[in-house]
Amino acid sequence: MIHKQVVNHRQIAWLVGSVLMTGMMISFLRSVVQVARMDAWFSQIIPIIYALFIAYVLSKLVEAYPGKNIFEILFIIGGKWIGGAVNLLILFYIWIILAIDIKGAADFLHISLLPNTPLEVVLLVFVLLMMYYGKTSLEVAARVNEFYFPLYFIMCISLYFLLMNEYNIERLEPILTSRLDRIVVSNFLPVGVYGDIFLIGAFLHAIVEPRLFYAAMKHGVIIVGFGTTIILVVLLGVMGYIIAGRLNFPIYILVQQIHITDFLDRVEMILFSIWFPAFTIKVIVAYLAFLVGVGSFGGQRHYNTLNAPCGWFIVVSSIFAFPNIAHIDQFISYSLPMIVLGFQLPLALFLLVHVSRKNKGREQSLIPEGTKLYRFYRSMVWTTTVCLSGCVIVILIGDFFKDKSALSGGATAVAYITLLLIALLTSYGEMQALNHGKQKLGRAKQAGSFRQ
Amino acid sequence: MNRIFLVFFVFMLLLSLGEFILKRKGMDGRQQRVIFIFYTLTIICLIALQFQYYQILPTSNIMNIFSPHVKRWVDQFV
Repeated sequence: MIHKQVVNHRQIAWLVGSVLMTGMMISFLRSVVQVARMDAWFSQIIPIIYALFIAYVLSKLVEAYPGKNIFEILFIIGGKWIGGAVNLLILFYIWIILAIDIKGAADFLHISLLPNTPLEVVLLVFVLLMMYYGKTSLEVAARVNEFYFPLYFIMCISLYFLLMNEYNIERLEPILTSRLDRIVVSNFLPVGVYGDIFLIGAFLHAIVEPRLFYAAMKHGVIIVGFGTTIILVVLLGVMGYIIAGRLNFPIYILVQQIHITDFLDRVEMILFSIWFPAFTIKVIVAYLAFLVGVGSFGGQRHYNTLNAPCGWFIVVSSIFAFPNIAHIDQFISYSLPMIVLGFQLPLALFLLVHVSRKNKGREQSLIPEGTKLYRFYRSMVWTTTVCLSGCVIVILIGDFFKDKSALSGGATAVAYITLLLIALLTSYGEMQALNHGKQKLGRAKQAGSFRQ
Repeated sequence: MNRIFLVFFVFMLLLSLGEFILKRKGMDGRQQRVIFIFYTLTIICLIALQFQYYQILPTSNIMNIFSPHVKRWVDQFV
């Protein structure tokens, strides 16, 4: 797509939120609960740090190769053959994300809502919707997401209040009874899902401000970490770890437990109608990334002609690769984190080493140093870093004191949630400070953070 | 596999393939090759799907080859 696009920093943050958060709501949280039991809600901090690392690498790539996406950058670095081979692996990885999401959504709809509709038909309709969006661009997806993601996030947080009458804090207690190694392993399982942030790499050619781009992605990642933690707290508090660890669709069953009054029945349908569009945006972003990747092999950025063949391929290949929901659950829980840690992490490290040499001496600042805004920005950056590190330290301290004091578990829980919430607010402050700095520098009249 | 889906899907696939054959002369050579590969893969997957549940081509576990090993490792670790 050659035409100019306008996607601002807030839309980037919410796109990242949508990409990471909506997919794991189908069935993924079950395996996390199985591993860490009632302490599963401490499972988001290492994935957050990992996703921030990938976001940092992507922003450095933008700085080093402005106007190029990850596929083009790898062709430049590795040449036609090595770069092509690595790009093929990235395409395979994106195809995995697409196949999991499309087949997972089709299975979920078929089993829970449309049992008489053939699974293949549900899947085909979903892919046709995706192909319709495939004719557009990231801008359209970002704008639709701007409407649905805030609603979805509010819905996730409001679950705590909607399920208050079913909630029992004793199901979470005693806090930090699981051994530390269980919590550590439960932190590695979501890395596979948080690795989806790599999809944004396909749209790097459209980014203007790398620092603002990083701040926006950082805010998006922390939104996901906070939202998922709250959902896990609610899930464990309502169902307990034994039931939550055995359900195929724990979140769906969780929202079915909402019984506010006798006359308001099936609230899950209202909540589902918000989740589904937000989830669709995630799949569309993955599909657009796939088209951009395939287009780079075809030697151009116009991907309209590739839309139909890629769409048909994804319909049959997703049914072929994942025959049922158990396969998907097993794959997301155990194989995907290994793929991410075995392929994505080394690739990101290699790219970081490469671009740090290339970017040497190239300093970019959106805010003039010494100003009040700069001091505010620095304090926001430091507070976010301290809060995220504090989350890790709080778990370690809580684990050390768990046998010594009954209060330590509760104190750890309160400190962890508070630090995560502060990190969420300060990351927003960081993003806004950079945006104000950009506007003060007179760059506001440029197209938003993205142009394509 | 559902027959209504199969008929509908094959019809749309043929339509799309026909459109590609008619328009391919105006396309770049590399792009033609990429599209051709995707159509070939689609047809191969579609054929393989017809035998998936008959165990002639036991492909149901193709993506989960490593999952049981990782799960066993996780279980041992915790």
